[in-house]
Amino acid sequence: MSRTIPYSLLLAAALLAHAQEPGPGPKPRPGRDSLFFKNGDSLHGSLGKIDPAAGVEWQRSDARAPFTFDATALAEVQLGGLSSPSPWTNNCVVQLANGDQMGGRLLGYDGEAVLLDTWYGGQLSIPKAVVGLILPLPAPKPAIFEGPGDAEGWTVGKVSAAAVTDSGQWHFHKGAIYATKSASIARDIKLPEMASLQFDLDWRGFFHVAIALYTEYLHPVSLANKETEPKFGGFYSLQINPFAANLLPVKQMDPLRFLGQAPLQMLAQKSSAKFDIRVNRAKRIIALLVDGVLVKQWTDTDEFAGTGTAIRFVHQGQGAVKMSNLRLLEWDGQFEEPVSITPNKTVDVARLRNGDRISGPVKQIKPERLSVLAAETLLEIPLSRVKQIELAAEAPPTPKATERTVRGYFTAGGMLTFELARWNQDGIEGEAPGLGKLQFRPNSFNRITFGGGNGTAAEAN
Amino acid sequence: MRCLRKQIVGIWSGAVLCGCLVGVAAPRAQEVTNRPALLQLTDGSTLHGSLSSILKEEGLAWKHPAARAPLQLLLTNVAAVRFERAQALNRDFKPSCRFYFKNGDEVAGNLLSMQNGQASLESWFGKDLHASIAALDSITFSAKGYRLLYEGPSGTDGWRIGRNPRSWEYKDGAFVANGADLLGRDFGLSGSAALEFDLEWNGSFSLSITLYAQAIDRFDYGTSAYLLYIGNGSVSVQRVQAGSGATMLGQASVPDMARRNKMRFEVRCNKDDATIAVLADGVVVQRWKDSGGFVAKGSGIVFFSQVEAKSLTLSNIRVAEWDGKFEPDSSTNAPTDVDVIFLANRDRVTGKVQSVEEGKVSIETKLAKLSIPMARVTQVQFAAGPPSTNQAGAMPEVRALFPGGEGLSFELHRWEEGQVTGTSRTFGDLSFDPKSIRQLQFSPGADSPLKGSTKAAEPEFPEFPEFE
Repeated sequence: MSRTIPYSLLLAAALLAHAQEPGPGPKPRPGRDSLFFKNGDSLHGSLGKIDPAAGVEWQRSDARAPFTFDATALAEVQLGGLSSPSPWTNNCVVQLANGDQMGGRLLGYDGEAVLLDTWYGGQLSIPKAVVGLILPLPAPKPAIFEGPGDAEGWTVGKVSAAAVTDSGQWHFHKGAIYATKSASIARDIKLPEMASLQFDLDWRGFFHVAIALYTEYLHPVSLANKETEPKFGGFYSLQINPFAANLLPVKQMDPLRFLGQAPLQMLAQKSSAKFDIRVNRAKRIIALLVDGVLVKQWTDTDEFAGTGTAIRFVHQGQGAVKMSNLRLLEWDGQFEEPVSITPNKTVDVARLRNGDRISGPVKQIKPERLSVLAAETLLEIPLSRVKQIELAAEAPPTPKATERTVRGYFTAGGMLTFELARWNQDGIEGEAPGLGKLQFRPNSFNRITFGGGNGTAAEAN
Repeated sequence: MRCLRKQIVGIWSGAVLCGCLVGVAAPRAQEVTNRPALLQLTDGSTLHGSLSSILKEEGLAWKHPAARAPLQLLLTNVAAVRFERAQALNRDFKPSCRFYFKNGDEVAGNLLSMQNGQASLESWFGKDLHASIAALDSITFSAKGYRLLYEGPSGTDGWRIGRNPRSWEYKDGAFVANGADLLGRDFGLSGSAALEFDLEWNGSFSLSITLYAQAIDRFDYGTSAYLLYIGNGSVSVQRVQAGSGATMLGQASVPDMARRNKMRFEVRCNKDDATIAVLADGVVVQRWKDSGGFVAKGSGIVFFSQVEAKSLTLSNIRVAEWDGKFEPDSSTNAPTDVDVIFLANRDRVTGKVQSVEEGKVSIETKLAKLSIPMARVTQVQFAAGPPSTNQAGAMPEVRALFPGGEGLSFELHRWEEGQVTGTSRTFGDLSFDPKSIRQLQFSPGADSPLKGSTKAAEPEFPEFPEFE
């Protein structure tokens, strides 16, 4: 029996793969911060400093003087305007025994401690006893396309189907596109053979969006009258509404085929979600993930219908929709599997990317190599082949949360629970069990929850 | 827009306060001091606590339970303060009129006279108030003492919650449905009545409302009532008749719901005509007539959220007796460049109102000068004038909202314990005890996310104009 780790760890790992290089000292943050109280109150402004004894100092441009709040009444602080790390400096995630996750460059392991070089706190020595798991990360792949950006490069189409009485356009606004009426927009983003197309969708009321994949035609197509439309080649139409997703291969002169419906109950009570469409053209596979969860994988038993490399978003006119954070990545054909930890292990365990599992004491880890003593043989394994390393050690008991206990969420993913001593514009100081005294850059965290919990911001909102 | 507003205010013209607010608590004097309140800022911040003071020069001082000292804020970003436990307005007379002003103010009172471009009236904040007729949008006159039966919520007292007491939760002037369950109350409905409420939803929802329910703690198909269903984009009405079961009276779509997550609904039940009308954001959705006559016999209303997920919020609920008048034609077709007098027999006279004296209103029409007994007049609609805006350089105004729907705008000079002072552009200097204020809106004429009681801040897409 194995214990599974939420998919969030993998998301965090992906984010950590984009961690930033250390930069100069603190800079004024252009974004606003948000303070959430345990009673559900919220207050925007700017975090001045946190001193668990003296309170949390909060600034606003319309305040006559900074406010000071008791930290015990606070649930969470969210820090805005922190630049997203871009250069790749992390090649692994270390998950601690308490579930915390820290990303960084793996310098090594000597049987006693993991040495991690981090952009947020310098070199950290993490004792074996508090390490639950080491996840080496593959090198990140650059995005093929990021958008939507502005209108340049996009083709705006007019939706003029008979059933549409009120057509409009997608509107570009602050890097996102919005539609409140029937609207079409398309672009040749050069979809590769193996693609991961990701975007965020926000909506009001009911929505119905049709996404054309691998199309060569950049104007909307009325499926009811497709035979009489201008020549458009073939494409896949992924139709999404708050209740279900349908996939249809569309060819001008062939009858419409439905490849199946995927229920999307998880959207019923939401107003936003992250969508990820994965395509393996050679295997004629199209898959849909919503908020990181695979909801459906379709396989077209006929030939691949798409004849182009463009995409088209068509809002069907109901509700109001916002689409943002559009990214196109090369896909490696793999779906992220939940990470599992071997329970009650008495010896270290290494899992390889090919599915093999090696049990035995890990003698050493170097940036490029793992050394494991298995069956009295010392195995040297390239780290690029290793999926995860579990270290067998009796974890120390989790200390009881105090008024100083906070959980900081790193800007590039991952989190750490620690006793906060001081937080101001110069940096953050604290102490964590097994890690000792810690010092972090002021931009290390974009979110902090008090009392070691998950905060109540979601409730407050 | 002007016409739509008319339709709404038409109902509440009958809801003249008779000092008989059922849903508004009457707290002890000491409870009024530092009443619990909710401060809302224009950036979406919300803080519970209590209002210490507002001074024209200093700004607002707010006591927050987690703050080491009162929070001192400039008024520039203050959107509203919503107070708990507003006291009913104290007046020693029975108001027979409701005055609607072009700036959005509403005042219940009595019209004493009207001449030389000035209206003289009495209200709870003054016995001899004078207002320019140019500032008036309309005056409605009640034929009988209609009653406001409920305004709230201000808590769960008097309400019956279904199986799980946590399924409907009261918070900050609203009921939040945490699961599929009912919320009922006996309002003492007898004759025609109007129910108004703000509905906010998140995702898929279904809300049923049993009108004139005999049982408020359960669904009872053994008794007669009307069932109104509101779902995403549609409303429908069913008659439930004891012994005969349920019959659908009709269904109508509300297309605007598809792109909104909040609307104000009004349900007008006319027992004499056996009709039920539903309005959404002031627009008539549909009016259904029960050809078999009005069968409902109960006096309560039951809300039932039919989905398990936390998806619904009910607020600003008002229930009032209603005179049954439903006059969309007179409202929508009324000319806007002349004064219009609506009469009890549904006639109307257009022209220029000259005066109101000795129980008669004098109006100059194209043909003749008429003198009409006030007893025959139900409403006077004044010619449209230029929209009322803040004068350049003037201090931003606040609008105080009171139990019963009254609202008064004024330049706020000072708010201290027990007294608020300011200057109304309509009535001049004002001074009164703020204990009856249930909400204070700042810069009500500005482009604020809290311009009206039904317009709460939208946390999503706020910067995009097409999203409201």
